[in-house]
Amino acid sequence: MKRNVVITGGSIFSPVGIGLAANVQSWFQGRSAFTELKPEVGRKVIGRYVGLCSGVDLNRLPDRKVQKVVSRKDLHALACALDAAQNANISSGLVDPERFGMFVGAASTQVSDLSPYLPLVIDSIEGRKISGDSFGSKLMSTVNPMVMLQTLMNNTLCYASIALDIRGVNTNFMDFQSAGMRAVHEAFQSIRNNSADVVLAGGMSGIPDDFHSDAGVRMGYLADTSNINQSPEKILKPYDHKRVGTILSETSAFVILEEESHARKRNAPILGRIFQSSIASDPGFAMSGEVHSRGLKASLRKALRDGENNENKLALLMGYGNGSQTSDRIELSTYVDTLAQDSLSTPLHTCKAVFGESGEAGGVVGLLLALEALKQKTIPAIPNFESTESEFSNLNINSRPTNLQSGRALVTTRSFNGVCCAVSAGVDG
Amino acid sequence: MNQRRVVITGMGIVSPLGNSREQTWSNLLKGQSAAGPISQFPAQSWPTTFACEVRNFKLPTNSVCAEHRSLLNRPTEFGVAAALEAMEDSGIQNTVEESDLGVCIGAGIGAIGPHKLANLLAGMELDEGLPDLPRRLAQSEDNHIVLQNHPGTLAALLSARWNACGPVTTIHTACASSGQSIGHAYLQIRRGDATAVLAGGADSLAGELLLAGFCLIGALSKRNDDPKRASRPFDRERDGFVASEGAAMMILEEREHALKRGAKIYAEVCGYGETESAYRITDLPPNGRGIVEAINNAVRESGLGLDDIHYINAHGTSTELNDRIESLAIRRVFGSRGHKPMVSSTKSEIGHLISAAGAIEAAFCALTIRDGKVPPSINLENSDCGEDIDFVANSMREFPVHAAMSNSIGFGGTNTSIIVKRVE
Repeated sequence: MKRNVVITGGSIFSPVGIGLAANVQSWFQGRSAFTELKPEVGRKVIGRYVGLCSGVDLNRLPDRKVQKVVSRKDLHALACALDAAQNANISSGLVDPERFGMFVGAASTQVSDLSPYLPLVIDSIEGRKISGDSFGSKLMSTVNPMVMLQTLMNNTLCYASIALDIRGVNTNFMDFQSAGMRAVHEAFQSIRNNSADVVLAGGMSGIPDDFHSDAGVRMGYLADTSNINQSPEKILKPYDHKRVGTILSETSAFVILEEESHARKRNAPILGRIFQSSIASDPGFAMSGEVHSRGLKASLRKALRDGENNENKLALLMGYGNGSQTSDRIELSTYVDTLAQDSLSTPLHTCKAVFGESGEAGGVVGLLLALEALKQKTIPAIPNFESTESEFSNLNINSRPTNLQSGRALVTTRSFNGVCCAVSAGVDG
Repeated sequence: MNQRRVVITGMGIVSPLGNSREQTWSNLLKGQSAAGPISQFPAQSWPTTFACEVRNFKLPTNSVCAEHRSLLNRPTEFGVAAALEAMEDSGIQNTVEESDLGVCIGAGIGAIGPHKLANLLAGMELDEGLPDLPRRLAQSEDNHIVLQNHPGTLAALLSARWNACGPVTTIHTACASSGQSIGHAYLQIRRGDATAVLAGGADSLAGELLLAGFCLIGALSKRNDDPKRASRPFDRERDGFVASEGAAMMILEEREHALKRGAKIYAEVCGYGETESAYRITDLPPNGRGIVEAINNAVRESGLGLDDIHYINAHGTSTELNDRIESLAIRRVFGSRGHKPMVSSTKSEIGHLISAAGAIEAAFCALTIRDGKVPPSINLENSDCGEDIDFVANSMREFPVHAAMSNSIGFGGTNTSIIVKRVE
């Protein structure tokens, strides 16, 4: 018997709000919150705007000792994951632990996580090398042992599992920007295939710093703001022909996916449902210069095929669109190439003008906002969007608030290493 | 669930016991220890001065395209080399559509290499005070540091190399990473997401910063005067694991597709169990909870009887805690029903490959089935982990193994159990 998968909780922690309601409000208001990186004296930071998530109340974490052993990105993600579970009215003991799973799309260890080693590294330099002897002889007396645990990339998975007594299927994906959606895909498949009844799934991006910002600008991905004389909320122009790149943003987003009869039995709130999810890839890296994304095309087609002719029921396409010149072009080109003629009029939206490039959390943010849009039957305008390249002009990129028909949303992601995900979702009623 | 069956049709290994599958396997069966003084940097004053290191390794030229060479680091070079061997071994190339070929990798913690760090910091005026490391690295204008050190890069390199457009996945759950990559590749084929998946793991712990981390938490053996006897899983005198490096890759393939093209088959992957201990970041539940369930789930899915599973390649890290609790878990599953599979930990010879451990040990299980030879746990002189476990101690044992199990237990609580069986 086919198992239906519903979404019974969700949360977003981002620069524009803490919690789902706050983020939805910011999105509908078109209000971003990019701030300026403070460079060192005498240093010019070329990717100087970022989105920082502030106001996370870490005192709500069940075990405050975890703050000493876990980095900021994991603390935020943990708080967000627990918020999602709370919104779903899930607490430890309410769900059979062995049928409760968790999948995380995690940010990798960051340069700042290595900072406890810095004094020792500097102290050990001899000529142009680190003296292994010097480093080793002082290691145990100089460096806090917790640094090793802080750099583990599955900390969110570990501590959320402990807090909620999650003992079932689980893993930690490292697929760059598609990682969070990858987690949702695996959660959906696990429930569908009867490996779990409830799964906490989502992703988090790390704290942007000037190193990553500068590197991203040099790779042609992030906006080079050194020569842009505009206020930060105007810089990010996803899908617009004048787009200049994206802005990194610190975000976590999680959902609770649940088998429908299990959810109804415990009177869980139902935010929406997932009909299908799929993953496919471009071979290699996303900036490789292909015209279309084979991975995005394949994942779109598969997500639209869930036993029904879903493309006819498509009410919203929540794209990836992060304002990067190459990435947006490839994405738009793929939509034109893949969607049926009458689906091209489906409103195409991206939330990144408000949220920024949310990394591993981006797809899950898009999923939650898509459900909200379907529920309200309206979607806000994409800030800063005026017009796109002429070859994509037949796409309905929503430059103004738009009413939505009843139907489904298709949410897509595409990451640096070519991983593409697509999820078909909807709301009841 | 879809009833598609999954077989292993190719394998490649780069390890401290050899830079190929057969060289590694041959030395493993001989009971050789790969441990020795660290050669990659002067380590005489470190708390632990030895490791298992890959030696005499050179990635063949043109293994990746010119554009991607700058993205390679030590573990990804191992991964690419192992993948080359696996792909050639399987003969899968050009027999499967690009959209049906996936990649699934267990990858380690990315970190900026210490020598690059030193180059950036050299010449700095120390009286400036502590420098801002990110700023220094940014000043290098090196565009590739981020991608080079990201765990997801190896999967991208491999998908580019073989035009894999199916599911491409990178997993990190510490020591369970590549146990999970094999397991998830198996699930992807079972579900119909792919026909074949290049799956495995790569890691390197033999560089300064990563080794330092494990020294700090006291996880490494300090038997500096006798490295070859340091890794001694299940032995009473064990005092920690031995850091290692390398890669193992295998081709998992849908069984009918493999049979149709006349592929050589090592074994069938017939069971996979995955659990979360939900206990502590490094410690294990004292009653083996989590590991027991992973094993039971794998056995249930395999459809095998307990007495069909002749061999267990244990996680067996040579730490006091893991070995004691893992052997308890094995007894709870098998011993309670009167079964006594052979057990060994190949970490005794090859050390702990962390993110690559699960894949290399699953490969050893498949080779055990192929050859009917069970690799030993060396340095096992006096066990305190129970007399009712049949440890294969110190020398190889010949036995026509029907099915073998590989267990992995990771920091953070993820546990995996993979069962492979002979294809009749």
